[in-house]
Parts: sequence; C-alpha cells; structure tokens
Amino acid sequence: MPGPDRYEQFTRLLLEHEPEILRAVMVIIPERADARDIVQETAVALWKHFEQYDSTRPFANWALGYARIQMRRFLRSGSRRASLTERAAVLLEQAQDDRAADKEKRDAALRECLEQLPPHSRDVLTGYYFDERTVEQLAQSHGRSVEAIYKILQRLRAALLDCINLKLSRV
Amino acid sequence: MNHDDLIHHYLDGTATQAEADELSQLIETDADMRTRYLALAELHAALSADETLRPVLTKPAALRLWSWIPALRQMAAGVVLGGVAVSAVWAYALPKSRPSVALPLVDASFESGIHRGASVPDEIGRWSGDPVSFVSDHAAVKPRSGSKMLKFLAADNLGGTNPKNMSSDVWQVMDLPGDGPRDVIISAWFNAETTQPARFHLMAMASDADATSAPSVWKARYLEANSVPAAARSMTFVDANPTTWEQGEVVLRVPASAKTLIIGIGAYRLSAVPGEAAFSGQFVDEVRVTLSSEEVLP
Repeated sequence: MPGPDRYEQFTRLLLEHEPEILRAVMVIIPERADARDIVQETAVALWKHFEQYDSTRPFANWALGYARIQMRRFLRSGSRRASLTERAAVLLEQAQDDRAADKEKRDAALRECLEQLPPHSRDVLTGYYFDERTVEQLAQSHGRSVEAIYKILQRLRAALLDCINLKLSRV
Repeated sequence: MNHDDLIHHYLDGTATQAEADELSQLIETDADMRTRYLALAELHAALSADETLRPVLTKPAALRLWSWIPALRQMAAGVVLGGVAVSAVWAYALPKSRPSVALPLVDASFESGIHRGASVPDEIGRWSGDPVSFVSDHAAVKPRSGSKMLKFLAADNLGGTNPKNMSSDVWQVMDLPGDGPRDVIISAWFNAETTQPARFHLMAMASDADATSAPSVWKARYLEANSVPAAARSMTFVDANPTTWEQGEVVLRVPASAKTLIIGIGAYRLSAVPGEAAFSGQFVDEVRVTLSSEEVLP
C-alpha cells in the first residue's frame, strides 16, 4: 500500500482528473450513472496500482488506460442498456486519441456557442445536463411531450456541433 | 432512421440493442460515421461532465450568491482544482500550537440520533441529508467516541438506491463567528466494514448569506466554478481493518464577509449492482470544526 505522501499525491491527482476521465468514459458509455460507476471502479483500480504510476508521465493518460479496461468489462458484462460492441469502442478510443490535440479549441468554441443560445434552449440544456432532470420532468415543466423534448435536445446538440465546426473553420 | 438519429438515440439512452448494433456496425466500417459519432458524443460528454459549463448557461441573476467571493488562488495545501480545493490528512500543515477555537457543532459524535430533513438544512444546528442510522456497533466496528456512530444507508434522500447519486451525504449549517480572513478546519473519523475499498469525503462551503439560504447556496456551488474558492473538499480512503478509524480533514479559508458555514460528510456507494448493498457498512464519528485566525495554508 502506498505511504501517506503517495496517498496525498493520489488524492490530488484523482480529484484533478476525475472530470476528464468521466468525459472520456461518457463518449463510449453515454449514460451518466453507468459512466460514474466505471469511474468509481477506475478510481479503486488506480489506487490499487498507484505504486506503478510514473509521476513523470501524465496522470490522465495513465488513468485513462484503466478506465478503458473498466469500460471493456462493462461492455462485456451485458448492461441493462443497449451498448456498442467492443470493436466499435476500441475504434472510437483510437479516434478519440487522434482528436485529443484539438480538445481545448473545441471546448472554447463550445463555450462561445452556448453563450449564443436563447434562454429557452439554455433552460432545456441546464435541466437535462446539469440539474439531471429526466426528459419526462422536462416535458412536464415545459408543457411539451416527451418526444418533443428529445427532439429539442437532438436539435440543440446538432446546432451546437454546427456552431463549433463553424468557429473552428475560422481559426 | 437516419444515422444522426441512431447516434442521438444511443446518447439519450433510448436506443434498442438492435439500434446499438446497427450503430456499432456503422462505426466499425465507416470512418466518417466514426467522426460524426465522436463529435456528438464528445459534446454530450462535455455537457454531462463539465460543471464549469453550467455558469455559461445559467441566468446572470443566479450568480449573485457568489458575487462577494474574492478570487483566492491558494487554498487547502495550495491546491485549487477547478474551484475545489483538495486536502487530505495533512497534520503537518496544522501546527498544534496555533491559536484556534472549536466551533459548536451540534451532535458532533452522533449521540442524539437526531437527523431531520432530506437535504441541506435551512437552519443552524441539526444534521440532515440522505438516510442514515445511528448505531452503537456493527460487527467489528465500534464508535470512535461516545456510544453511537453514524451509519450511511442510501444516496438519494428518499431511502432508495438511486444509481445517479454517488454518495450518501449529511450536512450541518453553522454560524461562522469573527471577521476577516479565517481558516476553518473540519475533521472526522471514518471506518468501514466491507471487502471493497471504501471512500469518504468531507466538504465545506462558506457563505455571506444566513442559514435560511444554505440550501440554495449549496445548490449554486458550481455556478461560478472558475472562481468559487470558498469551497473545499477532501477525500479519504479507509483501510480494510474495521477496528481502526481513519481521520479525514479539510481546510477552508473563508472570505472576510462569510458568516455561515455549510459542512457536508459523505460516503461513496460501494456498488450499483441491483441486489447488492450500496452502503453495507460505512461509518463516520467524532466530527470537529475548528476556527483559526492564523493562516494555516501556504
């Protein structure tokens, strides 16, 4: 078991990089609860193997390796929800790595695009993504059908992606 | 169904396995589809997991709660991570000779068994939050002090096991005496009777609002995630020995105008597998809150 200094180091690194790991997991496993389970399992695995971590190398990359192992286990376990094949997941991970260099630019563009959204669209996104309200709850509070809320979410994501791509094309 | 619909259905959790298989097939064979999926999925993941995006979407009026907070760049042990300070059991950072005063935390060792309300309390002096029980022993685990300890039971404020919630949390709101920059040190002892590594956290947040605003202050804690320094969090893993307790600690430097302190204590759930106990045996006891007017942070 690592000593107290390593424990402190681990705690700092894990807290710092946990959101980044969760984001990477959610690309393959989009359901938040499932992704959080995988991150939790990853945290335990990282702590067990922390003595092997080379602190001269990026923690996020090391951690992501373990997260991917946990994702494969999850995909193999036959989740209650529909899931991608392992082969598709591996290909996506490779493509994800190839896109990593532009992540900061994409994040900056996303912020600018979110700022341009009208209030109603912001409300729907905030409710769904940040307040973690169900689509049924959003439908009730917005006076729309469940299908309509799903459609709004899909159009918003598509519009945000168009906006991001437009901004990146101008850089 | 067009390809974008397939992707959106999968991201929203409404796809059938047949649709997920069709999507997988397209991802495996079509590089353009792979790129399109990644772009939409990365957007979905960013919105789901990046709390710093929330203030971009939230109405300006909601930001008033944090308008007084100065931009502190150094907090617990000098680390600020996205507005959340990380500290751990760093006794060396807390010299015992410094002047400090213990703050009157109500039921600090959970002897009274009073726990009322399902979320952050809106008044001083009571524990509230997720379902818990107050027990005198549990297998090999005995109270750290007094005759009882708090046992975490569930993570969704309603007694169930909502898998969306990672931790079972209890909170208490306190008056914060004095003025000027002060440091609050919160400690608690943790233990677990489980074969899995058990993880706990301590959270602290200072506010210039009174106790009645504590629930909304807590809810708004991410509104200005880039500049919310008056919040700190520490994590503690406990060992596998149920006869020993491990101490967690968090240090929070509070702004001059702060007058209310919200403390939160939580246990991470052990399992999300249906039928398995998420909180089979995780305990906290002997919570202490100390105020120091001397800087204990680097």
